[in-house]
Amino acid sequence: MVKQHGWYPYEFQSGTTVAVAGDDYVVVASDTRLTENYSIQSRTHSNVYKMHNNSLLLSTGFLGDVLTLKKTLDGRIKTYEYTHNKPISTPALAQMISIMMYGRRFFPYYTNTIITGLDTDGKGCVYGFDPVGSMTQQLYACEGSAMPLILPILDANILGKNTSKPGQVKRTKEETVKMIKDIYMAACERSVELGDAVVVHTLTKEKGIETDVHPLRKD
Amino acid sequence: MALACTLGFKSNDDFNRSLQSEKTDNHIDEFCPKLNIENIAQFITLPPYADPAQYMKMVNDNVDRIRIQFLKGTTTLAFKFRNGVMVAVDSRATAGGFIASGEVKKVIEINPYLLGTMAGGAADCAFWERVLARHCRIYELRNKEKISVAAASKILANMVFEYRGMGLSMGTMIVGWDKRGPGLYMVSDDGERISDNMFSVGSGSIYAYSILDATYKYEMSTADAIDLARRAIVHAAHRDAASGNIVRIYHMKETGWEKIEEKDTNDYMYQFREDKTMNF
Repeated sequence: MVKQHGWYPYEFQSGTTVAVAGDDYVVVASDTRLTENYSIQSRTHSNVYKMHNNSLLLSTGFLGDVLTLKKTLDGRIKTYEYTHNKPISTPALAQMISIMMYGRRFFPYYTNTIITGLDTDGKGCVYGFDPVGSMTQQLYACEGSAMPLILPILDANILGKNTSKPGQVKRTKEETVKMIKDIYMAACERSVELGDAVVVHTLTKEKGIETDVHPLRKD
Repeated sequence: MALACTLGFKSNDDFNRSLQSEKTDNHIDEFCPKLNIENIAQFITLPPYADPAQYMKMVNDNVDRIRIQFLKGTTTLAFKFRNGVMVAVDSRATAGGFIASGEVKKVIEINPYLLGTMAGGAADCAFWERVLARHCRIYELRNKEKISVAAASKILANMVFEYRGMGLSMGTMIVGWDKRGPGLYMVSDDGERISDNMFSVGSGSIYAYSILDATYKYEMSTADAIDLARRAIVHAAHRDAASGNIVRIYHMKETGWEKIEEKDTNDYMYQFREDKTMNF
């Protein structure tokens, strides 16, 4: 492909992440395939990053910006804890991410991030961001290369949108994990950038973070 | 944070230190000066290339599968009438051709008597209106009276003018009630700030204007005004692909704003089709 001579600082490493908030839990999942322009760089790279305040950051897009964002955030979280003498809550962290990402409005972090955790009442919360920090609180979120495949399934399963039975369907933690695994297995049949394995983390107040790795197609 | 600002303390200072003492704790400032939005010029990183607007346009145009898509908002309207100001917005956010969200809050509640709407880049509107909220609060603390709508919109227009030409995308309406009565100003990213009785901003504004111009009267009753605002958004949502989902209506009164409703535009469209009660 002929490219004009210039400076191209961004790359796009694929990865798909899903987050679902429940009444007292949050389930997040990521595939573990890292591709760059149709070649697979890694089969064991998860897009979920654990932050110091027990929130989970999911970030896809350009890996360089994802790692820098994670590193800078870690520092900010520690600074917050030292100045305020308590760990930062997930809603406050979401607002901090929003203005941090807007600080790079003219040279954005090329990442689609989601921050998840339990809020101060113990309820699960999911916040989604666009590359310049527009924050929205959501019941569930999906970002990444297979988002157009997975998001409609989540709309139908969780909120019953456009189905014969509209309305939210409440699920337990285990049912949500099973649903997400099924969704990834279906999506990887039709997406080249999805595969290898799906890592599912469940965050609850009592047990903290539980991890489950489920293998997917490797081709 | 606001009180410390009013009194002249730097935000990282301990409250026990006096104003005269030398700031010795410079380490925290060096580590994270940029989270402090008191000095916006320091907070927003300058890009390493000359023309940000041009570069972002290039990246958006799909260079080598890289597409940075920002969330863009779409039909908003506001008009003054006998009993205050009526504000109505849709709730769809698109990123390129993909509907990223159907539940975006496009009315930003700055404080109980000031509202700002969001059209254009979602992050731009949300961020600058948050900075505006901070300025309004500090004004209120320093002057012991509520800020006027004219002053609030001027603050926003001046802040955004500093970044003119760099690719911000923001078309917002500042709505409020101050001692001069109801106020409605439209502020956009090129620093434009105008006041009028009726505005609509966004990709669906052309459809909303036609409905508004057909039946708008200043002497409308509140119920008629709600109906007009609702119809304008519903028709815009019907014809504009980038608008839709939920219509939210707010009424700005002397006692502050009140949220009237938030319902699905699709359901209303079916209702209007059967109704046929619009009289021109």
